[in-house]
Amino acid sequence: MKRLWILLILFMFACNKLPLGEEEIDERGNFESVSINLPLYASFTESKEIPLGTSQNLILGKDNKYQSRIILKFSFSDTTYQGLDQIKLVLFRNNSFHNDTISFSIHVLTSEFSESDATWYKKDNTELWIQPGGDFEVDSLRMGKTIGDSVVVFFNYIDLHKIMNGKGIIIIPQDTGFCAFYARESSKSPRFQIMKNGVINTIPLQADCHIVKIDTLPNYWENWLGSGVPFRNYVKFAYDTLLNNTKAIYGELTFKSKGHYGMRDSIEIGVKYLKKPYVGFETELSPVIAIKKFAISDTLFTLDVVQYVQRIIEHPDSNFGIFIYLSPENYDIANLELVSGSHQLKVEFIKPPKPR
Amino acid sequence: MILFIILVNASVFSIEGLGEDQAIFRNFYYGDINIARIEFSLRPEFNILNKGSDFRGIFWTNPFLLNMKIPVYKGLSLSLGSIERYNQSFDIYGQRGSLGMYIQGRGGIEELYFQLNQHLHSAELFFRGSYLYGSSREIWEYTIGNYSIADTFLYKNNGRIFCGGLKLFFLSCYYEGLGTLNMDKDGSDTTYELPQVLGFGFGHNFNSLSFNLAIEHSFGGNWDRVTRAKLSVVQDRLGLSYSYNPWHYDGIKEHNLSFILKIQLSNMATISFNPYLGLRMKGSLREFFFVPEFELILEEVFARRKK
Repeated sequence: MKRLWILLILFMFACNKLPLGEEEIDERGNFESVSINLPLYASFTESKEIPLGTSQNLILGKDNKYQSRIILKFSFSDTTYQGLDQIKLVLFRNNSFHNDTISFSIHVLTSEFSESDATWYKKDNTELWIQPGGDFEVDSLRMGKTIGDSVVVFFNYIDLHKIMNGKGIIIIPQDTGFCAFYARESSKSPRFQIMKNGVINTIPLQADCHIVKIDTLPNYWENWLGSGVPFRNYVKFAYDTLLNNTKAIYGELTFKSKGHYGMRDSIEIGVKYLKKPYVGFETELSPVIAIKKFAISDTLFTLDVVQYVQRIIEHPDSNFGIFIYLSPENYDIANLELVSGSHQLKVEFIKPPKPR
Repeated sequence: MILFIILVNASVFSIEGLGEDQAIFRNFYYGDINIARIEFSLRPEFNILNKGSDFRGIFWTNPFLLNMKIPVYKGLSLSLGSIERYNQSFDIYGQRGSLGMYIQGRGGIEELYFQLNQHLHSAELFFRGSYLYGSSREIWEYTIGNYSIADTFLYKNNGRIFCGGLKLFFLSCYYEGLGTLNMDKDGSDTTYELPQVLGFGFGHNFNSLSFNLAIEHSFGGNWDRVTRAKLSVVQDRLGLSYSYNPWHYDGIKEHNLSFILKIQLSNMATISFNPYLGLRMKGSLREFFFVPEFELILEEVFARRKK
């Protein structure tokens, strides 16, 4: 009897979703959905060297395609450190990456740099490095190897004074392979520690970033996605007047890849639409309209870009296309080569309800 | 003074037209005009939708209404109040092939009114002017496979309607008309002509038996022309009423059976329990509803204060 009462109460409080009365919906319109494929109008790749100072990671490494160096600057308050027991630099590895064991050297920087603007070629927003890849003393302070969860490099007094008198330090990979460390934007920032009488004093990190170069940029007419050195894939689909005055339920964007490069098993792909006519990498973009995680080895990618479709339905003259990109573009070093012509946009839509 | 609080109901059929008309079979006449009263009502509604062997239950609670009546001078009284005029709440699931839909409506059109009643011996006259306002929100949710998207529409309403009538001995009549409603949706508005109503009433006491008949004919605008009727019989504190209420919209018919139980708490308070059962129908779709209505009536409050 108790069960019967419980069932009755649940029933009275709308615990089922039966489509009873659904014919009443027809009073407000015809809701048969229709699907179409929008024809591909254009697709190509835009790339740009961007500063990586806000990245959550510091990437160190090189191979025949990329090279990445780490630049650090610490803020020393005392100019006369004496009686120190230990001087060391600690970097923490981000183990969500496939990290290689690589040798590296540490050099003193000879030029000031701006964390938020430094790239492989530029030391700040206006000036170039004298040598691309950073200006530093040829003789290294120390050598090291990326072994274990953290890398510790010990210095002596002479090194310390060179570092204090320099503009920072640069870590340069000597072997092939890559290793990712946490940046100060993450939870485990690089630490420069000095120990005196058993007490450890951590020197504040003033700036950190990594700078990346790529040997060859993809051709404009190819279709690539990339991070570290970002490649954005511009895609535009032709508008179909069948969509006039309709409501898009989904816009299923699919494309295929034929090759990948990366330090992780997974990547995140995002999409933004262009708010203004295309003028290049810097074209004004919408907020993220779609983002999805994939295995980097996937060959078929699908995202719902219904917001883009709905925008071009509402403003057919604002169909400026979309950018597909790896998100975040400064997180790691990765790229995907997409199959040209593989982009498809399937749209399913209905007529919106009539007003009361 | 009359304070009238109510929880009004909602129906699957409220998706149509202006929604469910709540302003039917209203009593505009106060009888003894010098008695001040405060009324509170509570009307939750339990709905059960039925088609064939399928059932779906819904429980509704709705907004709050207010009515104040102030006796002024020599049989003249003034009323000011707010009621829900049209209820636009509904809750429907639908399936069209692979397209799943879930649609919810909430809100409605409120009526803020000002009414004057004049009592003259065996006659009572009234005039009412109403301002219509309020908003409703509809959420249309579509699902296909793993994709889901929702649209929200906000309707903002404003309008007016007027009403006047006369009661003479046991006969009464009234006319409601000149009603227009402006409904704004996303910046584009539509003006509707509201249905006009011609109402007739007959009420008489035969010994301890009170007998009331109300007939309303609704017409005009782009709405269906309908005639509705209500018959009630009350003896002492017990009563029974039946009403037939076809809606303004295509083919919706409603039958109501109401029981009345009045309990006198003291000289100044009465509790009325009016549970009613109803059935709305359109084609093979049926909506059974049960409303356990509670009403608290306080009388002579101000008169006693004067003493």
